[in-house]
Amino acid sequence: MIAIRGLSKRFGKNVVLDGLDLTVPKGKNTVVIGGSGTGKSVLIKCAVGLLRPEAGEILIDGQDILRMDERELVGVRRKFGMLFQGAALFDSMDVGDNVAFALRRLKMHPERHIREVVEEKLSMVGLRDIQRLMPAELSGGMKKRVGLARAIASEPDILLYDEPTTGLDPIMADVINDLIISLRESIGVTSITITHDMASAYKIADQIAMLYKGKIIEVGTPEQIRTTSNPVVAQFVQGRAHGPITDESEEFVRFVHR
Amino acid sequence: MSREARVGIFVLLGLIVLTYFTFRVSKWGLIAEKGYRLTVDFDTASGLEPKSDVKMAGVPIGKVEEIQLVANRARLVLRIRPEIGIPIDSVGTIQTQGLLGEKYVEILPGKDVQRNLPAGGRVANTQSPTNLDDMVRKLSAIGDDVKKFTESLSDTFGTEEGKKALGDILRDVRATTATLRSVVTGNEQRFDRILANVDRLSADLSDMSSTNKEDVRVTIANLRAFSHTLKTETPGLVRKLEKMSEGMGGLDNTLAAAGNVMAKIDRGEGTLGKLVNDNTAHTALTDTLDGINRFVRKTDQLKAFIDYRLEWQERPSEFKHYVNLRLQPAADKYYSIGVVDDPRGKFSSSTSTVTVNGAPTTVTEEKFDDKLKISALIARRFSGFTVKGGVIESTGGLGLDYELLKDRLTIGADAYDFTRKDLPPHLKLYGNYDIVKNLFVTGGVDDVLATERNLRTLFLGFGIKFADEDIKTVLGAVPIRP
Amino acid sequence: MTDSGGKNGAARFAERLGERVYAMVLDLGAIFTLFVQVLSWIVRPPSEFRNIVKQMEEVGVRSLPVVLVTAAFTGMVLALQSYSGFQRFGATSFVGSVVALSITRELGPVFAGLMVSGRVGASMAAELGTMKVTEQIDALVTLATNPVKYLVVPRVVAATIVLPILVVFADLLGILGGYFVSVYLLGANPYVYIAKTYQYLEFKDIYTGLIKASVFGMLIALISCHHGFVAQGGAEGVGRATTRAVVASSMIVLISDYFMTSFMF
Repeated sequence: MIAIRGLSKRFGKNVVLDGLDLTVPKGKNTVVIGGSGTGKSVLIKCAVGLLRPEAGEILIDGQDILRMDERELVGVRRKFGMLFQGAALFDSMDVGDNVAFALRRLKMHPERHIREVVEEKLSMVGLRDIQRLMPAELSGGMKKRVGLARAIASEPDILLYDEPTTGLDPIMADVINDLIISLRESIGVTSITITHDMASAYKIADQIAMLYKGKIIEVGTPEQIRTTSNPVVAQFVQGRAHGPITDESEEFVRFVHR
Repeated sequence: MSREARVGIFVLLGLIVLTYFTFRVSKWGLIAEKGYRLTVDFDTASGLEPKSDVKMAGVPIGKVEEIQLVANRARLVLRIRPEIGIPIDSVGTIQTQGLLGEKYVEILPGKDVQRNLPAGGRVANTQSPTNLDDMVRKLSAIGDDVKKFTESLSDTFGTEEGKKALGDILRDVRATTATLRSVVTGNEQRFDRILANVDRLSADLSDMSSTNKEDVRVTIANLRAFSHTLKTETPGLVRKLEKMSEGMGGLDNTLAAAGNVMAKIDRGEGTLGKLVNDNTAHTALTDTLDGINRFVRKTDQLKAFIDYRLEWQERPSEFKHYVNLRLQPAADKYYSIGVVDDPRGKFSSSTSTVTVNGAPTTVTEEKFDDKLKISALIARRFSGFTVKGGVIESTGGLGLDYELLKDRLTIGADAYDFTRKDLPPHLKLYGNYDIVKNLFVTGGVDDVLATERNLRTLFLGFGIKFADEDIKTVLGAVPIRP
Repeated sequence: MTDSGGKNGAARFAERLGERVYAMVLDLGAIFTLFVQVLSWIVRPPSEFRNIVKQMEEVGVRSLPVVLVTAAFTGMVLALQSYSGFQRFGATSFVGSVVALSITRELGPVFAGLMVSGRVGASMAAELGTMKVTEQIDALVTLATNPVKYLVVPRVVAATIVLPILVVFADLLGILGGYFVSVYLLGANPYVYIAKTYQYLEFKDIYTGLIKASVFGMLIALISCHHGFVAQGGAEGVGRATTRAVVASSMIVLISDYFMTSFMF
């Protein structure tokens, strides 16, 4: 479904992705874990075409999006929905318009049906009667859910979640986790989630990949990752302060201060 | 109001304002051209711009639309309002308006109002704007300064001191003329004889041709005879004149009073004094005179004289005043303009029937009224003779002067008022003698030919005259000519 | 902050200057690229009509008061100054011409441009900068919307259309302000004033001013959007972008004004 091969991306002298390979199976949720600043966001932004990598290929249903021009990319992006870390709701529009944005742009529904469609999408994320509210009036968890409703409004094949549970209290985080699972099961979307929240990762993942130093160093089921023999992955998933990652602190610091 | 409505109103209002500007601005511009075009050629269009005004009698009638160079001359394309007709013989000029010298085209309308210039026609007659505006500007400045000066003069003589001084002068003049009268009284017969001689002389003069040297010689011989006659016939008159010089004591007083005034002026008292001594006034005058100078330089070596004379005439016993300005551009010609206050200026007669001793008698009353008259003469000098012509005392006239004794003595005759009712032309014979440079005495016979009506009269008088050098002295040693 | 390499002050200065110049060249290139992108997106469907109208309201209707007040006072002070100057030549009748020509040719467009730079440039840079740092621009992309088309095209089009309209109002108010001061405060003859106002004013003076204003509008919008787009680093970054946008667009108004004036007159 999504095949990433030899993906390299750098910012100036700073190599973030260094020949990364990852295969995301269709209809499954792949969770990419890694420390802060290891390039998880860069990876999914490359996947959706927000960033252009220097090398490699990203095959979506067999088509390499890196060889597409802007117009073809627009077509491919219709297959994607993305939930941003901060929800990224448009401040200037109310909730209803935010959710309806892609519907209107793509003219997927006649204008008179839009409100019903939006209400349906909002109910899928457990919200109702908030179409007239402005994003500034919403709590963090509600923003995430509205963001999710907006991401799924155009019925994408692929959903990308950027730190879906970050900044939420544990209960709200679990509500989001349940939503992600239920969306996979009800619509059957392929999804990539990036997170460093291991509880969330174990709960929602069909497959977990560990990103370290610009490469995927281990891929496996949640159970395989939990019981890994790789010391780097083990340090990360167990959340230990001492281990191979922190021993190379100079490099770590370098990434943090990217 | 919806967003679309607000934006719509905004855009609409903007377009309305823009449309307004478009119409206001292009009234004579590219879009709504009205009126017809004329061309006019000038040597120079310096200072003119497209859109400069075109005026007739000061009223804007169009704009300059284009300025082209055609055969090294400036061709202006004018756009004239359609309802304005320009006579075919109109004259185009370039005029200046305002101190910044904004130029415009003035059309001086022609006389031929029946025929107007057609659209696209050419104003054929033009007046070159050479220096005219320059001169007009300077002259108006001069005029202002002169006005200031005369105001100051009137201020001076308006003061009590000035009045008193003037009164002194007039009193002295009266005493002098009284003396003169006593001299004249009792010499009528001799005067008559003199007049007879003058008659002969004038006859000779009238025969004379100024180009005929022979005649001139004869005339001079006659004059010699005349002066001889004068010498033989008037020993009594000479005696009287001696007596008169004793009476000149009064004149001395006059001069003393005048001297007082001058001294005051010198000390800077009174407005005139201030004017003369004050530096600002002096500078203003210098500027004025510089302006005059520049104007005058063109007319070569212009000299100016101002004279005032007072004539006492015997019948009726009255005073006649003259003020003359003489401009002398060259030694052999001059122009003179003047004002004459003539006590016999206006003559009126009324006939009434009065009953005397029971019998009706017709009495004709004749009356003379004071009147101001104007003289303006052009004169030309041939050796000792000067021939004059022009306006004398508000009527057409001619005159002839002969100068003797290094030009100190002038004898002459003026003939004017040729169309008097029932009367021959007015002939005046006179002699002037310069006692000193600025003071002269005069005498003669007025209205020689009018024998019937007792208009013929003797007169005597004196005058003062100033050449421009003298005026300079008075005004503070300003050099008139550099 | 001392450099461990031990460079002297001059070298450091030269290096910093070089960086600045390089950054300027980058900005210039980015702005030009943005301009080309705007041109290419302007013609593609869907039309951004509603967005353009929204931006016209923002740039035009909401800037109207500040532009009108500025223009009126500019006209008034111009009349006052030229009156006191021309009085010395006795040429006070030319005040009307001077005010009209100065306002329509130069001051109307430039002051409207500066006001719009300050007001609209700042708000564009702040809005787009905020969208940038909160990933709203990325969100647009994932919602199959090109940010240049959705955000920049309407702003550039609206500013290009609306600024000349603002200048028309500025011209009118400037002339009225000059008229008011001359006639009611300085006692000029109103008929002479109006006659002189229109005598030397040509339509060319007005439309060159409007063309200038159009270019100002386009440049202000482009520059402000660019600075918003490249904002990074949270609220502080947005603030920096806003400042840069205002400074750069004000400067470009004055600089481009000179070049346009020298080309057009």
